[in-house]
Amino acid sequence: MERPTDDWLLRVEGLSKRYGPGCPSCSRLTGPEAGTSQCPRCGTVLACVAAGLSLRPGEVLGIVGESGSGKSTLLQMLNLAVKPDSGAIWYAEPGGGTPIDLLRLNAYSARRFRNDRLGIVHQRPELGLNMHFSVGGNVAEKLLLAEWRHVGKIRARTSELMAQTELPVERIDDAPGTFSGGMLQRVQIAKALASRPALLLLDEVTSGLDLSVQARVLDLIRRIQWEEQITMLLVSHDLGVIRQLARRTIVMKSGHIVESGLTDQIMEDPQHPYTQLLVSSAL
Amino acid sequence: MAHPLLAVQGLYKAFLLHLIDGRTISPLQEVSFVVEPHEHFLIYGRSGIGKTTILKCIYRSYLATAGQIWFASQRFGRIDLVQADESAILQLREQEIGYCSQFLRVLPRVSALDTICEPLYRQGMARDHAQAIGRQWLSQLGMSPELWQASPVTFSGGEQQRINLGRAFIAAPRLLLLDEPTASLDGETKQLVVEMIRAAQARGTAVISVSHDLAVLGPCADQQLALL
Repeated sequence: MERPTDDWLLRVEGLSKRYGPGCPSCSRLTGPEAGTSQCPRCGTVLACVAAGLSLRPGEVLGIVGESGSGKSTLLQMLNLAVKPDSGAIWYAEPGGGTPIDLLRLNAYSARRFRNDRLGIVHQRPELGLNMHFSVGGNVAEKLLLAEWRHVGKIRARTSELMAQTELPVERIDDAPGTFSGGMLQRVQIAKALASRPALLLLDEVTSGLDLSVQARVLDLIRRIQWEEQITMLLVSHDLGVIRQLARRTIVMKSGHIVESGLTDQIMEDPQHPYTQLLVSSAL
Repeated sequence: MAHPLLAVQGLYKAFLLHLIDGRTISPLQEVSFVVEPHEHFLIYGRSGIGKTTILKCIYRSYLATAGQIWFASQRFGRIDLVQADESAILQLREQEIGYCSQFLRVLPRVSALDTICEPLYRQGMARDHAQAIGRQWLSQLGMSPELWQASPVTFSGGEQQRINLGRAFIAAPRLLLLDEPTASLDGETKQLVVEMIRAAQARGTAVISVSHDLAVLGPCADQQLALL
């Protein structure tokens, strides 16, 4: 008989980030009840307060919340792009291995980890892509950082990724500026997947796309998740997107995680007042 | 003595509606019952009495307010579905507990065949093998082959319900929860549902169905619980 497994890929404890000097009233005057993450006394923004979560290998976790709820800050801390004020991000390589605290890595190791083990797809392609490089150049950038040196192999891998993300391989040398919005998201996905990362971070990847394009990008993400069994963290303000992909969901408001649970439970039996409001506001 | 497959003890559910002045509604009075392996357990009563609430608490789409739901899991041993952690619940849903909701909810771009095979894919079955089984189910359910590649979104209510049922039965879970399985079906298909329940029982599945269709499901139930 097995115990319910508690193996995890990523375990986040007490992760906090604030912007500003802080004052004794900050924590009392901000948060879900106060309805803001900005302290009215000193103007400090408590963007993310004591966030905790764990991700099992191969799972998709949704993070939902309105603009300014802290979900992108949380994602950027996990992407090692924003340095938290406190907390820990434990990572355990699938198949065993001693957990490491990513926040204690030195600058070089953190950069390597970020390039090799993480992939991120941004809402705005220009944040994830160098618009002056060709599509092939963008993907190659990640491979070069992972110490790929053979030009032929890099090109072959890039073509493979383009095919996997349903991009026209013959456009490998074209600049991203000549691609449509939905295609740019595919390019970002191809780049993110280049180093076969353990964790894919998706930040509002379909927001702002036409509905039919949105559906195709989501189908692609679902197919890749299925084929590669890759662990994903999916940030979205759209409950429909979350419902399609994530089996567990975290709800954020004013810098705090207010509720977490199975996605169907969050949708059908929301507990927190904010989650109830969110669910009742779905179109 | 061996434990029953499912023992529901003092289950109670209340909904606190923050958006309506913090009002509490409780559709379900406290219930307790026991389901043995291979059994068909029928829960009946008028609409709104809390039949679906019981199923959703067992499946953990709802969080029970009080009580325990002990499930004799093959994988985890005796486990309280009210308290079990989320990853255990997700594994149980894949391997041991199936749920057929009242209405089919599917992605519009997925074919009927893939929809019905999805639980098998999730169990890790190879695609070809899963689809061979899926085709058998679709023809047993009387679905014309020309519909197999179409999305169930375009189907009639009765056809959707057949896909919905097929999807629940195909995974051969140890416990199958059926919410109004005969609603929106014609007489002939209702009898097919009865046969499917019997066949599932014969394969070792325990079935809990909630329904007000006593005439059809009553005769094939081993136990009945009336909610009044």
